[in-house]
Amino acid sequence: MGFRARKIHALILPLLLMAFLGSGTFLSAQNISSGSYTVLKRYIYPRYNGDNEIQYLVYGSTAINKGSLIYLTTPMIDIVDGSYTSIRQIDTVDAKDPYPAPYKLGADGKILRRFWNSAHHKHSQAWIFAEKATFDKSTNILTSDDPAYFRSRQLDADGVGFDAFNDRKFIHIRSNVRVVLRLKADALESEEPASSTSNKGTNP
Amino acid sequence: MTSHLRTILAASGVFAAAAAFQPALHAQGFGGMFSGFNMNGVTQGEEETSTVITASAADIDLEHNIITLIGDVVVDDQANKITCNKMTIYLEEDAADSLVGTADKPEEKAGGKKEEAKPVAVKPADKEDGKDGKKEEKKENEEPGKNISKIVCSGDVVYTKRADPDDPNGQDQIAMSEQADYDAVKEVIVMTGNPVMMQGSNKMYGDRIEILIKEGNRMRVINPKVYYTGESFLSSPGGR
Repeated sequence: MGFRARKIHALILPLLLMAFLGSGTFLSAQNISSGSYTVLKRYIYPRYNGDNEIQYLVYGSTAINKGSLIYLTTPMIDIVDGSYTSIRQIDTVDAKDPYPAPYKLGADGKILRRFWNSAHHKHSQAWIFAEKATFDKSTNILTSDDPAYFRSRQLDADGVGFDAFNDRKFIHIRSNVRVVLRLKADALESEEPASSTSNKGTNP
Repeated sequence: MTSHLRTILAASGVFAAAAAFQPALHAQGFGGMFSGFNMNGVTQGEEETSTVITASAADIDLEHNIITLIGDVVVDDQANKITCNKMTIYLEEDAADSLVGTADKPEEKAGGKKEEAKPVAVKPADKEDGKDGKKEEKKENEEPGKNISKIVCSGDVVYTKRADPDDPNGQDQIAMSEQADYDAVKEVIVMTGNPVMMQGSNKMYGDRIEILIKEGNRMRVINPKVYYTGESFLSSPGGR
């Protein structure tokens, strides 16, 4: 490969990434182009609704784009509550930080308050964590056959497999559902100063 | 005279049954079944002490604030158990918070623009200093909290109030119906659709069964119609 070919390659790579991400933003992008697919690491993919408000953010450690499908490893979906029109208004997880893990089902109040009062989660309506998932860009549906962990202020749910219809903020957990309800989500209001402690969760 | 005596007997039978169905007071009410929180709003800690609801599948509709648990729904704690085919959980904005009116941010909508479709390197320092007013924006963007307002169990609903383990003569109390509605504000469960309450060989039917959570899950049959005790049969006071 000559100098000219290397130069062309260097130009193509960023273009491929931008096409993959659409309106996306990524952190500390480390990417590899290989054949007909693209691999992206440590990314954030915001999705907007018709009113230009952020509906959700997809984080992940690795994404492999093949055609209309994106194969995600350890994806985290931050379903945003409120009228945020720019990702800069949201305190996203830093690339340098370890990704937050879901707290255990039935975690105690201290852990719950730490999670939900964290700067990274205050804007969130809910989070979905999974080991693997596939995102179909054409339908905007995220699916997974693997264990999934849904977390919100009112309810936490573990299950196996899910389909997230992101445009409608609708999540179907396919099987083995285990739920813990909190009748008064107000109880999660801060009793202690909360900080960004999202990486202190424990793996299920 | 015979008719009068029969009425008295029937009345005494119903009241005795009602008394028999009075559950003992327990520290954790029925509402506690649905929640890992105790009355102070603090979770009871480990997974083993939080009440876990199991189901075959779940639909979570965050746009309409409705969560539906589908198939073989079981809520079980040490004192109570509910089974049903479907459980629907409704969330609504907290009334007190709604008065503050923080949900709408017209100035934000007017001024905000969609992020350009280009990669943005996020600098940690930008987040920490808050000089760009991000924190204020975020505070304005915070929506009122949502709480569980209502839970509806439907399809072969069975509620079991377990007997006090310290009572050697205690018996489980079982109520069955087609539907049960839990009102989180009033803290009452109303069972409708052919409700029947049972304890041992006793059975009581009525228009509906109310479970008063604030009164230690006391069960109350509204307009009791028929009361069975083993082989005997007594009509209700106003019944035929």
